[in-house]
Amino acid sequence: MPEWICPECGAENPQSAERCLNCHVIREEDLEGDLPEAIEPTPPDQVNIIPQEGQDLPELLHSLKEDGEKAVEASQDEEQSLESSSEQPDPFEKPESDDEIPDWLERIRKRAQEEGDSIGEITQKIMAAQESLVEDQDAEQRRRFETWVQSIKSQLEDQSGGEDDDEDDLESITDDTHPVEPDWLKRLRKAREGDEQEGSEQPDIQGDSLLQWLVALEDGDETALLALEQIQNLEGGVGEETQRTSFTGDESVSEETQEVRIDEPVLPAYKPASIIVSPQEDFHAQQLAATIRDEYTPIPGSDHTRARSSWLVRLVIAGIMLTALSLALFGGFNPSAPQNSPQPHHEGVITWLETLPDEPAVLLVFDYQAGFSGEMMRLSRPFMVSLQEMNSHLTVISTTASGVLLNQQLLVDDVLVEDISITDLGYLPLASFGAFSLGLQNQVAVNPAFLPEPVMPLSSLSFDGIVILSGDYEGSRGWIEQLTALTPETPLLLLVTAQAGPIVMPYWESGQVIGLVAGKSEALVLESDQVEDRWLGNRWGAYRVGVLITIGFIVLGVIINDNRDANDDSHWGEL
Amino acid sequence: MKRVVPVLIAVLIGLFVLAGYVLQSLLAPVLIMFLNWGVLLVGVALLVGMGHLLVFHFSRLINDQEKPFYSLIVLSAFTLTLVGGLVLSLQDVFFRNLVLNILIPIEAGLLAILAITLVYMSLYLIRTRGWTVMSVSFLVSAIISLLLNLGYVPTQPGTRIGELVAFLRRLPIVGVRGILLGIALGGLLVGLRVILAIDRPYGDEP
Amino acid sequence: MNLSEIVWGLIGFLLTVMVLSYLIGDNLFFRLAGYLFVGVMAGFLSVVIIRQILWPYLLIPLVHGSWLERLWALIPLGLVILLVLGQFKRFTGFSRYPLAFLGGVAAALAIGGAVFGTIMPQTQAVIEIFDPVVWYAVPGRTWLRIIDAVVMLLGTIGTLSYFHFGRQWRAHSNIKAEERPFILETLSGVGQVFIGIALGAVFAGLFSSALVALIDRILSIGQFILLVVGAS
Repeated sequence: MPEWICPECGAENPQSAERCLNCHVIREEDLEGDLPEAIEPTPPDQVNIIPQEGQDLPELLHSLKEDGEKAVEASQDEEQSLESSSEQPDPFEKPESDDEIPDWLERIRKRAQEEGDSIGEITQKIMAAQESLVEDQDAEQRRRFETWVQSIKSQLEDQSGGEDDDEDDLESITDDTHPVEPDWLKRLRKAREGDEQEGSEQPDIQGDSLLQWLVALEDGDETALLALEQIQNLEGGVGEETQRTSFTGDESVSEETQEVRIDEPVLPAYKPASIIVSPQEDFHAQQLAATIRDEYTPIPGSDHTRARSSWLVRLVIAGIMLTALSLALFGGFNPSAPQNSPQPHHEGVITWLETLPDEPAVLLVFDYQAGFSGEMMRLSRPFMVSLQEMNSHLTVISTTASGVLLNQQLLVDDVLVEDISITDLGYLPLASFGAFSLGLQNQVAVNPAFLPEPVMPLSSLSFDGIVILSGDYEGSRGWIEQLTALTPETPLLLLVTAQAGPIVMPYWESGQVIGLVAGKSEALVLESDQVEDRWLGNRWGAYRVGVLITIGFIVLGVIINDNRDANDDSHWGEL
Repeated sequence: MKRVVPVLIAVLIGLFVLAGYVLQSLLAPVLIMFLNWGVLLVGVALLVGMGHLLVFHFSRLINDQEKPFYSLIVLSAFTLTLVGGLVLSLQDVFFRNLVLNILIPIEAGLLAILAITLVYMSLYLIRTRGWTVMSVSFLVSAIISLLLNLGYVPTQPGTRIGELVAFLRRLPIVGVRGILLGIALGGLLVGLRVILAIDRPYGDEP
Repeated sequence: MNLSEIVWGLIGFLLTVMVLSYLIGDNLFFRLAGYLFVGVMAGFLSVVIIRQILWPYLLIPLVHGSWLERLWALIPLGLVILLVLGQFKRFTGFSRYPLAFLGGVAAALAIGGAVFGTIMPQTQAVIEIFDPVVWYAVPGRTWLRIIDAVVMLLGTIGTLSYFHFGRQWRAHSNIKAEERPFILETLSGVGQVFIGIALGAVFAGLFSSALVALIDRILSIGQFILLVVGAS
């Protein structure tokens, strides 16, 4: 079903609608006349190049045959029509139906079919050529046909040229052998050939040509502007020819009429090259129209009132949290000690520390980001203090870039490990690469002579335990997987943030990891068991307040939403 | 030939590294060398990524496109940090303080915003997800886990409460184990597809 | 109190306030902090890579190594050159070789880690809890351990069933493509409960970490203000 697209809102409307069904804008006739014709792909059987030629040329021939009498009348009519701009021949006009064919043309066609005279042959050739052109849309053939038509026209002009006193005007347009093209036509043909060459070089972008051209035009692209200028020149050229025709005297009416008839058929051959719309282009245009239309439709998420209320709720929650936590931190709130006892996974860490030999060799893997440094420092501090007391030989390796600095922050700045040796193996960008490499180093006692020395020294990689300090589960998983596969006998311990704790817990339960401390709350349990000084007091109090507020909000959310949806059984139906 | 060589490299190297899990002592020296090359290549790939980032911001600055001021900040911060790190050392106290005093507040600040956002989201959990089996178990589990973290519940082993708490703490392990197995199976399949040259993430898809 | 404490404290204070200003809404200060973070992180990462990867893994063998080490170092040097050249349009195909090398290593590590590090140990852990030796190791409440083992097994299988990815049923089968076998559907329902429980615990953990960070930030702001007030 034919449709027209509203230029205001982009909505698709039926062809019969006079107003846009979406925004009620009145349909503009100019746009209606041009755009749909220009955008919609033209079926091959509607290509309208020759029908005008066939319609105009027989008229000329008929006028010649009727000793110019009727031709003068027709020319006068044509002249009148040319003087009126609204009646200019539209190059995109559809071919006339049989009912609209004038009687004189009907007679000529009938005679041409019945009689084999010269004029009839010409008409038949034109008609045959017309059919041939409709069947074959090849541009080369079209150009040859135009040249042939030009030659016929020039022959006809030669015949009538002897009777014309003002022969120079005609010679300026045509030649005996080769038709002389006007400048604007040359430019157009050149541009079209250029387009065809570009099209052959870049077949991929043909489907986007219309949209690209439109976008480029909007962006001021030179090529697009040139094409637009050519179109304007074309229209200007037609105007010039038409204007010149209208200024000619009565005596040269027939010649000037011929001049107009010769030039007109060229127009459609040029224009479609820039506006033929492929199905892809049509699809893109539809998408664009749909996008434009969607921009005007109200979006639920952008509901101003709802967004504002959401923002307010978030602000209120932030205010409550910040105020409560600040009061807990600086208001002298003294929480009671946690009643938690060490869990089995904590006991693994404690037992390992207790059974370590003197001056143990421990590998510390730093695999957390700077944002978790506060939590990690607090949960690993008692652990590091214990290692310091045992004069451990620490080896550190980082699998996050910031781990290179964070290990210094933890060991040097915070715990003040001064008397023990620290070997820094540096940064390894991927946990699994580092763990696999490290796990293999234990298997090599002596490096073969034909191989280069490994970057990590082999002799120092036998450890009493490997401690992974991790902020997320991915890094710790990479280490656990590789070390379990390669060195299952080396004790593996995890000091991880609360967020990683639940996910790495199965590795403790399966025995791959002998001990695990996850998060600040568990560190406090560990610390209360090992360190007398409970310096985490204020933070612990604030933590409790924050968690209680959160539980309160969760319950509140359930109650509010439960009341709101009390009459809606659909939710319960899902349970 | 151009397409065969990368596939051969990937398949042979992959099979060789896989063999290293079984023939560790035999292949370890060569595997360590390969791993060192791999570490080097990952590092260079990260540097290439940095290069692309800089080119993007530099072109935005030169072309005076959208918000060049932000690109200026990125480029200035990058240059200062790079020069500082190369002139000084990674062990230098000033350089360490400079970098950490920028990274920690910003990353921790983003986590702080996440805390507020999580509270906000928990308020609307039931509205968005509805009363489903998963949402209810999620809510109950979250509240219990948070409560257990507070340290109000005594968890002495051997007592009934202690046993119950230990059971509740172990309960999430079941689901997490299933998830971990699922992740491992997915990783196994992806790895096999690369080793068998069904997927070619290095280009030239079959 | 020395000057460096004030300077670093001021930087931390300003950056914290700039980031937390996002709670009011997206604004200039938040974006400034974000772009500053990107620049510093990129610069720092470059320094770390140059100093701790390029230097020890490539340049030291090339510059200070024996002739054998230099010879071996030519291979990674070639791979590095190909990787860098591959970034230019003209030489795009060059990066295939180093990436194929990386892809092969990474794929093998993924397979080895998954099989030997997760699938086998975790499956073994599920099986081991059915060991009667474990049930009767500690006297009393044996039935509780049996129930525990059954729950563990059902939960693990149920979770895997929920994530079941299978091909469509064959056309000649009477079962519709959308339908799954009853047993799989039931186990999937059980799996949903355990996934919900697991995600609830992960949520609690994530919130705990974020809350600790929030507390730290509030504390740092308060401490800086107290520092300035105390100094004045």
